[in-house]
Amino acid sequence: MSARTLLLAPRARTLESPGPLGALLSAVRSGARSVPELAQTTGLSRDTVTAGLEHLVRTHRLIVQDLTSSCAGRCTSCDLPCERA
Amino acid sequence: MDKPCCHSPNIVANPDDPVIAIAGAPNVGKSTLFNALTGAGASTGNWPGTSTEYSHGVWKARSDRANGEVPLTVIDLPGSYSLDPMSPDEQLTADLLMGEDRPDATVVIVDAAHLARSLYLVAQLREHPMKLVVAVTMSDIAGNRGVVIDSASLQRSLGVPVVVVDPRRRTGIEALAQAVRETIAGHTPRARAVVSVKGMSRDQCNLTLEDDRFAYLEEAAALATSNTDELRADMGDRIDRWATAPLTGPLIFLALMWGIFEATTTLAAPLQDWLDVLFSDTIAGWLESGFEAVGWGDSWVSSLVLDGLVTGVGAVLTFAPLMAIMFVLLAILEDSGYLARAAVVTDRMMRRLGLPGQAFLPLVVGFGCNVPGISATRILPLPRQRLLTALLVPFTSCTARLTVYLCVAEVFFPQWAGTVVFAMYLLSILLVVGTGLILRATLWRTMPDPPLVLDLPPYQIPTLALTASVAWRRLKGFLQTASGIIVAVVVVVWLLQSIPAVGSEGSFADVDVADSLYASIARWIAPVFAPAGFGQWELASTLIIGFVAKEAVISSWAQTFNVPDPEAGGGIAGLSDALHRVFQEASGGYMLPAVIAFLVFLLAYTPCVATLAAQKREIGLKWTLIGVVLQLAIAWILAVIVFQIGCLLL
Repeated sequence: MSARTLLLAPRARTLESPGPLGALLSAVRSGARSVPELAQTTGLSRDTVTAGLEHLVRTHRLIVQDLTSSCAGRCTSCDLPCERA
Repeated sequence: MDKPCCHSPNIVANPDDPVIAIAGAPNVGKSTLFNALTGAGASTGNWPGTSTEYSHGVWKARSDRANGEVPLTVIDLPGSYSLDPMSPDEQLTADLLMGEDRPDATVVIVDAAHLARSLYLVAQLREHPMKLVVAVTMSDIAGNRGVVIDSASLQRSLGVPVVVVDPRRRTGIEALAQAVRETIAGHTPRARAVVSVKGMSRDQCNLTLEDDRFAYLEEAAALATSNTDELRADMGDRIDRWATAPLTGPLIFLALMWGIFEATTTLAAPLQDWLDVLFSDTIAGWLESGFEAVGWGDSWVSSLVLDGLVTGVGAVLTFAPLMAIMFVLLAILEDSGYLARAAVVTDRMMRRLGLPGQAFLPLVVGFGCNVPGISATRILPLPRQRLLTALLVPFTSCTARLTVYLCVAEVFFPQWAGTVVFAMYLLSILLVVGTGLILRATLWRTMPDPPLVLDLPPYQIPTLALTASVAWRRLKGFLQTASGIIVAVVVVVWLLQSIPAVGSEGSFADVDVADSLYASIARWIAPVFAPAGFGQWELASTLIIGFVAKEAVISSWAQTFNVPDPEAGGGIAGLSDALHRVFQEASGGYMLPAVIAFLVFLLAYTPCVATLAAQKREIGLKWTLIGVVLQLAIAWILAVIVFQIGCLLL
């Protein structure tokens, strides 16, 4: 199972809002790195944090990058983002 | 094209029947409920005027009246998370639900196990005067996780009827029928008031509205949800408390990596010995007999095949079991979900050191192969981050270098081979961090670092099929390289070793390696490495070859020392004797410091020409050349320091 990183999109770096989504964006900016950390920082349930992150990805405020470990050989032998980036 | 409508004659069998739409996010049990309601009477097809598939059927809902059943036309709308469409399917759902000819009532399915996620559509629909019924599914799955949904509380919060249904067991269907009937017959509920967004920018306006919905659904979910297992932390959470903690996280990461290298070298040793005998004895013997049988025993063809291809490629292929075991162990680590935790640890460490956190992605890739690692720097948003990371990636220890570490470690530190390899990887990390800090302190003093979240997958038991598939793909890549670049390098090395140097005796393919053009070139450059303890032409030549591809280092050694010759000891045993002798001579008796210095140099200097090509493509020729000088300087300085200090200590 591959993990993902969610990068804060440039357009979301300055957005603020008093609700759960705003709290999530603020927590990400403050350095929270995972769902448990975000839940702890924002006081939201993990279900809401997960739903909020999915929503922020859907609305392109967070950008998804696949995280995969080492590959072997050269570029042609792996499916890393070298060609699609 | 006409706008799609719920009362289309293609959909509704009887125009007098009320139309019920079933909506909801994907995978909430929508179609299961639809099938439970309509049974075998359902039809599927493309929505008129679109290519979107949908199902419709008749639900004969039981009635309180004497005539028994009320037929309802039911449409199973494409799964949609919200009314803001991201696909044609979602567009159709939004058009049908919000169009002029709306259904008489909409049943929105929400997943009890992921209530917040599936309530967003409800929150959005509640902003419009619509007849809604919320059907809660997956209560059993939620219950298994200790989550209990209070439907009455949810109904109060949402302001629409809420019914718990289990379409697979067909429970709650009658309650749903009653709620739908009453909703159709009753008045349309008032729309939920939304927050004012006057004067806001478009982005800010959208976020404010969406956040208002999230606040609404968070409150509703919080009031309606109770967790009976709150105190029983999830197993994954308990592991994560240690695996991602600032202190224990790095220690666990290092311990796991050490375990992998140790297990690899221990498990692969018997297989490696078997392959060694196969190439240096059996295959070489067969081919030699074959060449003698056809009268080519002393020909250049025999020399190329036996001294070049069999020796060179065979030496590298003996490392295939090592690579296979390591790839399997790394695939297990990745498939288990641990890799993402290692990324949390790495990201945190890098940020604390002032390095760009996102750079860990290309750096992680670089540990496999520097070429895609360099290409992966494109994910970084800032040019300066890309440049800095592209200069750091070559310091990550790729799998090509691994074969050399393994060979040298097994020859000089047979009892500690795994630990030596682990130490090389540790040094690689330190080089990345150290060089990064130097560059940050000099060339990149200010560099913003956009934040990110790591979406940690749940821990799971690795699957055999996936592990085998990933490991095989990587091993295949290694073997392809061995059969491509190495064969080419082996042929060039053989050619250079077959040409007599100016002034030496011998003829083409009949000259001692020490008198060849190959040795002559290496002797010219060897003195540079004398302060580091390996200024011997046999060692300098492999570093030149390693500049082309690190995979070819061992094959060039094997060719130089002609190890398949059974009289010379054969295979790795022959290589071991020869390397001991050469390092001993080169270091003036300080063999082990020279070996360590050699490994350090090998780690830090230019990885291969393919990496240089990738660097040139990503950061241009000027910075590529600066990178080469930087790597060579760091490699040489470190190797000299290691050797000189080693000599003082020993």
